[in-house]
Amino acid sequence: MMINRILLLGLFLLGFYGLMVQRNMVKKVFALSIQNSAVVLLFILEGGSIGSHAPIVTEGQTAYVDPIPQALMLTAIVVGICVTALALALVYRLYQKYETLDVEEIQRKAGNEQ
Amino acid sequence: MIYIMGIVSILLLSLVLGPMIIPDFVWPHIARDFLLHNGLSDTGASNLVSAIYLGYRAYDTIGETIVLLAAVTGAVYLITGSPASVHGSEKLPQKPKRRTNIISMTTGKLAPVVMLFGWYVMFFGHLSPGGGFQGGVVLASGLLFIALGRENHQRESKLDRSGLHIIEVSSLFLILLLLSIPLVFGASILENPFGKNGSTIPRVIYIVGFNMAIGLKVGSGLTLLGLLMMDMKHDD
Repeated sequence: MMINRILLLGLFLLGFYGLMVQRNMVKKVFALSIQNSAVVLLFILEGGSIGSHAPIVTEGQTAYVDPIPQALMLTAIVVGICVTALALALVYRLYQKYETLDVEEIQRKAGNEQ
Repeated sequence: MIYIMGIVSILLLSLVLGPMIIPDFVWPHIARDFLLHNGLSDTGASNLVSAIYLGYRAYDTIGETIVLLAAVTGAVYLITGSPASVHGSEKLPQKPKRRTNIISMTTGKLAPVVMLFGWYVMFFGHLSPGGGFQGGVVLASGLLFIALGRENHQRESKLDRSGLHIIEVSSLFLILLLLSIPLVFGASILENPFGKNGSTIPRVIYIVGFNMAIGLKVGSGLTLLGLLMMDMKHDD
């Protein structure tokens, strides 16, 4: 079980690295999405460690996974989609104005305007 | 330089996050056992995830749909209200043809099946894996399949942007209606009013209604976002 969590930590750090290092804004948005996925997977993994069946009540079955992390992550996924969509719309607007996706280029062009 | 900064920062972050994530903790059983014994009788949904997000924590779900509404509103404003559409009216360069016969054939045949599955996921969210959000997303992908297959979806279909806006807003009003139904029965807001003291209406009807309203709202909102992003200028 430990190796799963180490891999998820690696996925989260990969997203963080992309968010910091990439200059392309679309790649930044997707790095944010990768971080979101890592957190979601971590919660599902932890909640699934106490059972082996989907949390749907059936006769004579008690070994369910914990449904609470799943319900929480449903919210997290929806909010993640909203953040991604809004960020992509912002990137589109910036691209229309400055005709580039490079963050530093945009900063330079915006500095020239003032 | 920025790569060194990135590597140093992920090392520092792993020092902070590693001790939180890596050690083994025993996950508590108490919440699972409580839901196992009370979830079905409290909410009427045998899918315990639905029982949580539409029964115990329905208030959260309302907030979630409002977050979605805010995101769709913001994205629509940012994309359609952009000033570049003023000089976007000049002659656009010839776009490469995106649509082929294979794409239009496949999406045309696949879309009804996908949308039927979306309705199934919405209707049976209380019995099987699924629910309003998931069904709405499947429905939206079916609608976007149709839009992918037809180049001029906007002009040919009744379900253009204004139609989707109407569906989204009316499903928001449906959610508000469902929210205030318990007040008529003398219960508090968002409390399931059905199925108490031997009434004939099954208790689960409240959750099914919420699943339908949320599914319509998510489906129309995401379709709207997808259509807007497919119509973006600057395809080169």
